[in-house]
Amino acid sequence: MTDEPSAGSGRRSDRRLAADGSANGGRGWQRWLHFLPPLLLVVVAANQLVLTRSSGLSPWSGGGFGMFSTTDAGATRHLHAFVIRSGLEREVAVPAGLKDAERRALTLPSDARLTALGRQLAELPTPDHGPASAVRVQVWRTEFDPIGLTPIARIHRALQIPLQ
Amino acid sequence: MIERLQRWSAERLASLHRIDSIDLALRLTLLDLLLRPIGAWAIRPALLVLAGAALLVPGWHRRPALWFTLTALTAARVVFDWPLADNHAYLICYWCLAVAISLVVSDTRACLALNGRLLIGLVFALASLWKIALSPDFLDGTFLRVTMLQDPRFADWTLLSSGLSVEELDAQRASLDRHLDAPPFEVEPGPPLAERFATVADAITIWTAAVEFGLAAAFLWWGGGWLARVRHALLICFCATTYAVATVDGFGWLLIAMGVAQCGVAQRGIRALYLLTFVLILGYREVPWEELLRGAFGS
Repeated sequence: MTDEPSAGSGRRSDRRLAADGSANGGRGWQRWLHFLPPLLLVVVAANQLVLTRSSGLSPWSGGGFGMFSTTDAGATRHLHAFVIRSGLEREVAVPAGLKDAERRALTLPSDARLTALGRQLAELPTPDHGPASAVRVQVWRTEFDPIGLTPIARIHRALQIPLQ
Repeated sequence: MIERLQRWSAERLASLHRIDSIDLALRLTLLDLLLRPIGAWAIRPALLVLAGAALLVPGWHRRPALWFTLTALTAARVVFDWPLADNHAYLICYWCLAVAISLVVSDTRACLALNGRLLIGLVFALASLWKIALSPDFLDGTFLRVTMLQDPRFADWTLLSSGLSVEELDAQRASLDRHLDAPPFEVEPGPPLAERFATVADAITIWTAAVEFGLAAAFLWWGGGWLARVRHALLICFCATTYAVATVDGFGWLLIAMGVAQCGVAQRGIRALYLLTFVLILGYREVPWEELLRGAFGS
């Protein structure tokens, strides 16, 4: 700790710090700069709030500071995907190579994200013959009964993606 | 020997008191980056090298270029990880930006203090909004009950505070992990909850909601009075209690750095308490205190 300012210089600087912690000093553009980080936080948090309502984003994610507020975290959601070929619907497991895309889709199951994941899953080999006509992707979450904590599964978002 | 030790301690304490709040806040932020590294392999080494160098080389921690670079790296982490990044990732990015801006404007101290205060206030205002108004399962106690049983990070605390045995906790976990993804969707009820466990979980629920709302009010309050005066005490109390149980030490250290940034030169005692709490959180992480206590009390 070699570069310590003297107590005197600190006191001089402190005079610029108002009793309520607000910055009174600085010229026009500097005063606006002071508020840039909190402003950024508010904009990102507002976007997170919109995405939780419009695209099913988990409240734990997206910079809205909703962590530790609900059991609905992205990591506690799970996914089912079904590939449809000539009327036959077969569930496919998400391979290791698509686990990262799955995690992101579970956290933010937007149409675009589910469609991209669904298209990749449709290319996986299955015992069924013929081209896939559609793929259905479901994101599930688990709710808990408040009294006994009995788990109740719910479909959070579902999308059927036509392929032809 | 004892005299020499006393003199040495007094000198160290005096030098600690002479450290400027800004220097201390910046160094604690760099320590946070080192002790709780963030990001994937492409970002983490650069963050570690920069934070380490800034702590070692005198004066580097006051260079705006360093903090703008740290802002860019922490922002890159948020962008590349979208939407998976946690709260810590966002807050460290905003704080690095706040430090960088503070170092280029004319009134560094006021700018950093203002940003520390507003960022803490907004973080807890949003956390309160989610917990009290938006989340359907926080205030009724469901979230804390499920988390204490299901999240392995809370296992030692749950066993210590609730009196549950390891076997009872395992049985509750197995019950919570069941899900039926077809009608009727609801599974059979699990084993009943112990009364003491439910009481502890509900008490933590109420305490968390109350203290976070209090922090939001205290740090966003623009006037003076008692609400402004309890800011530091409330934040120190929150950090000392919450991070004993919640293993998100990096977030706690960041809050402490932001709290220190608001200390005036005369507030030496508060700065010392913040430092003590920083060390306490490190202790919570490194010492399995819940396990030791359970062993001591034979539970």
